[in-house]
Amino acid sequence: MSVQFIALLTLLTPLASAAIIALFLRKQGTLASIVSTLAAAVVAAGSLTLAFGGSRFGADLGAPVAIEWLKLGDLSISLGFLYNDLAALMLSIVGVVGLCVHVFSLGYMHDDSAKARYFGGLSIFMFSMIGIVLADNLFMIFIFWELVGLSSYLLINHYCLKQSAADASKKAFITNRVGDFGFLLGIILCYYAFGTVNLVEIGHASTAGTVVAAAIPLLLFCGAVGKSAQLPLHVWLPDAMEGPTPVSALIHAATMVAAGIFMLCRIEPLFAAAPAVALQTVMWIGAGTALYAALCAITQSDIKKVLAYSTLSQLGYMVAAFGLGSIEHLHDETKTVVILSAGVGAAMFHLTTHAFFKALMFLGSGSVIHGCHHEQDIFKMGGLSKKMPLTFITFTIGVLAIIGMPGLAGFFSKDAILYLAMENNTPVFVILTVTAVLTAFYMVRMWKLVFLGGTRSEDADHAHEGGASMTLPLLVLGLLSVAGGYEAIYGGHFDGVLKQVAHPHGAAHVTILIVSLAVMIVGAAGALLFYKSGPADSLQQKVPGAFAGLNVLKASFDSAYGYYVAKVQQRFALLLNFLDQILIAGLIVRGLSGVVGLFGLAARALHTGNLHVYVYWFLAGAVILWALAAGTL
Amino acid sequence: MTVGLNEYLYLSAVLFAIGFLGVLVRKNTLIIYMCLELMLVASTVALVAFSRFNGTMDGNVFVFFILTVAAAEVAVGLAIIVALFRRRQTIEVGELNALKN
Amino acid sequence: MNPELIQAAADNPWMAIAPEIALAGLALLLLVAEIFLPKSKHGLVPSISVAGQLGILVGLLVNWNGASVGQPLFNGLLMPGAHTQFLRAFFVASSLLVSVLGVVALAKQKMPKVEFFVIVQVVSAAMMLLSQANHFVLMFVALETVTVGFYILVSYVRTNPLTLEAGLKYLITGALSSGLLLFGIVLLYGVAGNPTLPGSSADSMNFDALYGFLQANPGNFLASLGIVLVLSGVAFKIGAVPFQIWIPDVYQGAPTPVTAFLAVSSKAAGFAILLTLVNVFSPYAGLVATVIAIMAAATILFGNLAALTQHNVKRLLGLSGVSHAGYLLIGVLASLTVPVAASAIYFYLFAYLLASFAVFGVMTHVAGENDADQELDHYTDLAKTNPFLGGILAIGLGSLAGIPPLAGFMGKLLVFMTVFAAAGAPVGPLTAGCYYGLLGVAIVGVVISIYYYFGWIKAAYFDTWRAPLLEGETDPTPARTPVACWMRLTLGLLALASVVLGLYQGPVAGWLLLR
Repeated sequence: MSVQFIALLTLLTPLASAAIIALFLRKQGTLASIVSTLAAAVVAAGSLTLAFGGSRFGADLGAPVAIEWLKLGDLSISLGFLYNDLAALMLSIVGVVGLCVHVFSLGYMHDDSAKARYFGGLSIFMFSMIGIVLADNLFMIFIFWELVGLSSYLLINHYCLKQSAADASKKAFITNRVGDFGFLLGIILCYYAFGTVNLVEIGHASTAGTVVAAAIPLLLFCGAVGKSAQLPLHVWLPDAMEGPTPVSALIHAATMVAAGIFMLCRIEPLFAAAPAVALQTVMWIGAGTALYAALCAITQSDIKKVLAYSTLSQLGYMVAAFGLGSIEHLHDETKTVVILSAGVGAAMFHLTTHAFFKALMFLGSGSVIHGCHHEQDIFKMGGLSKKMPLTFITFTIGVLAIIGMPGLAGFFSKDAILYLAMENNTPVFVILTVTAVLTAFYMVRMWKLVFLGGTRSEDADHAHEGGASMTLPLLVLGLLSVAGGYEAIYGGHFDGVLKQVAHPHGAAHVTILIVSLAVMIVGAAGALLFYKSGPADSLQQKVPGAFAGLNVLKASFDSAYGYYVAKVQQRFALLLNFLDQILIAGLIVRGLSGVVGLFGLAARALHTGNLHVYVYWFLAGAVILWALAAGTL
Repeated sequence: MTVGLNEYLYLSAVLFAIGFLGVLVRKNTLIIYMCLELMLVASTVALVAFSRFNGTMDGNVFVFFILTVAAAEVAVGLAIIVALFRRRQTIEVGELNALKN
Repeated sequence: MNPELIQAAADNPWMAIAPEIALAGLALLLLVAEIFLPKSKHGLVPSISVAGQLGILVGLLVNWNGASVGQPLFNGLLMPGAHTQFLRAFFVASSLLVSVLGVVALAKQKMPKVEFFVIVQVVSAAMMLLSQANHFVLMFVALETVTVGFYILVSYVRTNPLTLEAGLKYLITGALSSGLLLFGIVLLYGVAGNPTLPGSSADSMNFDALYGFLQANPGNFLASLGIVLVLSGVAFKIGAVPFQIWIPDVYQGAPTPVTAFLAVSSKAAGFAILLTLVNVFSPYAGLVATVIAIMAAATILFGNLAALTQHNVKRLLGLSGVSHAGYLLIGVLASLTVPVAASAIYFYLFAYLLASFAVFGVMTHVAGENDADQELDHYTDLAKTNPFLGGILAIGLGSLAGIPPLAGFMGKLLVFMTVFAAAGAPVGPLTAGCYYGLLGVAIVGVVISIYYYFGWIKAAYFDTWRAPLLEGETDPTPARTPVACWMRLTLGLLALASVVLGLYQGPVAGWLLLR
């Protein structure tokens, strides 16, 4: 089998699975879950074979794979693959985490009545996500971009009888449309400016310094703002937790929300050519999101909401890291190109480790929720370390990884980002450091409330470990959360990305180490000391002002949007509706169709059924044509 | 008086017009059909006349084709008219208007 | 022996029309089979017919470059053109599909089976010859073979008075148009053979000779009279205003497969000969262009407007077919200056074939005992009770309406594009504005057509209220024929082809446009 064929197989297997489930297995949930999981296994095997088989292909890597799909005048849209180290890394993450989530879902969704719909949704998501990863041009990315949006909508809305789930899915879909509008404008502008949307060709075509050169990457970044839930379009992600927990792990933590960062890394040459303001915008939005989400996470009492805000915060980290990359070319005597990519390296490195430990924690929370009979309030848990030892151990690994415990995956990737920030931009460095303190604080808070102390509810009393299908993925992801930070395990196959990570040396190394250890200890110790394992929030009891302030901060965006929709957009829509009903539908459409209908009736009445009348038509026709013949001569 | 090409053509045109007029005004399907055949025959008169005055033979040959075709047409047409008469007991054009909007 | 005869025997042009001979021979074979097969085995005849036509179609596709393009055959009676092989395949495919529909429809009507297939094949063979005609005698004889065959086919169900009435109406109007056509031919023959005029020819019914004469004599009154008469005879075939008036009645009364045959093959044959004739008459381009432009605009508007309020689906398809003829006529107008327009027209006709047969196939299954009575109401809930037929119907009608991902859209787009290109070099008294005006009319027509096509889809897909049955009243909706396995395959392939050809026209368009 050629590598291109394997890539095609990896892309199309989940689509086939989704089609089979939609067409034949809508009622056979168990069979559907097996088909979908097998498809995920094929994807995992295919993606790892491709990644570690070492072959890369695409327009500038030899063996281009592209077919022309549509040609209209000068516009030609092709479908093709660009499989470089970046895509290989992302595809491996999607494959591995996807398989883990599928297997976990076998246990978690075992008793669900709409299992077939759920697994069909997972398969269509896998197809769309792989499409984004492999796509070699922006049009194709956009197509699959919308498809992941659709599958995310379907899966958030899985419990579709719940009003909150229906609202959340709509919110996610509509919020993403706002970002996608910018994305689409960016693609159009890109085509207008360069005459191509191929990722490799725009890399060569981009010209430095103009307004357009800044506008294109920023408009494309709008897509990432929506999909990766950055300020100000982050509002959908916490609500998206209405979906089943494995979905939150796969789509809303590890892969889909990371697609925005992946896409940024794909179009990095555009940013490199653009004025510095483009990257700075990205950097500040990322840093802002990181800090804002970390603050919001502190007051959450729902275990999934804590993780959701944590995801937001970490995505902000990645975006900030990407944005930081461009400024470092001031020092280091090698070439600018290498340094530019430091942002890409750090962002992708953190994306990788984050995918592992955040998926681990989400699945762990799924295990907890499953064990506690769908109780999600951390103040009603407690003492689960004894009831669910395996979940406890793996979850602890995840928490330690995210707060940056030396030796675990998160430590390395977070240090890479902090080092980059320290070298390039001190204010951002401060923000990210504060965020790291907050991260350690809210993570340890949640960990302590869930697992330590005594049980605080009946559900927690009866908590139990799930079956092997739920614990096995936890173990695999736990292992990866430990090992994922060591480049050795990647066997040098992703050097195109990972060699771009800037590592501190000498004094800088010590500084970073001390800073990161300090923030971790401060945050974790604060949480451990501050939170009693009680049924209410200590922060709310002791400092109600700060607590309320954080809640207002969290709600501020939603209320602003709510105000805008209710007062501005709604009124405008009513006006438009009025115009539509009276002017367009009433006068133009109905009126016109009435007139046309009258003509139709008249034309119909001409068919009298009488042969003589028909012969007169022929006579009239002959006479008119003769008159024409005589007239034109 | 010598009879030239134009006279034959006038005759042909008159026959054609009579045929057309018959199709227009007659009520009986059989007569209408005869008028249609008259129109074909009017064409053959012109054809033979042209053939004679142009000094070519293929007009004459074409007449045979036309007559053969007309014969086939008549066979089928009469069959349809007879079958229709059996079903409807009439071949008056005015009464055959079941098919209309 | 006469040396000319020896030469003719040596040339042996018969092989050049082998497909036509095979198709007509197959018809004779069916007659023989009817005589020699015992009565109980007569059910085999349709199978032989379908299998034989399938074989001929495959033979045509295998031997795709087999037509001797541009070489006059039989002393200039025939001249295979660039699209001859395509048209042959088109007519054989259409005849095959009519036969397939015939198997389903005739079983319902309990009519003799053999003659139907025989006549369909002979008529198709005549159409194949007609599309290559290069001489008025051959054109007239082939055209009359087609017409007389259709007289029989239209009135085939001779137990049904409605069918017979349709047959009579087709007979009278058809004979009338033949009369007009013939008189036109005679005039042209006479003028072009007049030895006193420059460019006259002893073989003046030959198209090449006629072309030469017309070029040498611009503005001859009798010639232009002949031209309009010939054009009006062809206009009857394609159903262009004002010679379209017979269409709804005949379409309604004819058995459904014959309606499909009329709608697709007869119209395509008309356009094939019209494209040939327009080339021959091109020295009189001003006259031809004016006639066609006026006809096209009137045809588009009349067809769409009259179809708008129809409830009988056969009449509706007939009138919508009139409007399709209108779109194609503006393509014919464009072909005066843009030769590639002919290819666009043939692509359009091919897309029209796929969509029409899909729709007619569904109609054959929905129709009840009385073939002429096919109302929109009968389609209520079709998509629910038979999703397969509903899906095929939606794709077929969507393609006819020209909805983007389907083949019909590409056909319209190609034709309109050639018209747009032709507007750069307007002909005769027409201005570029006339071309744009015609395009505007066509687009208005397409918009109107979406209304009635989607009205039909709506009837099949969305609940429409109907009065509850009173006591003793029977359900007016006829029982639907179950869809046989091979019929599913046929209809499925047609719908699939409509979708695929809409998304990717590569091979078909490439082949047609390279000509």
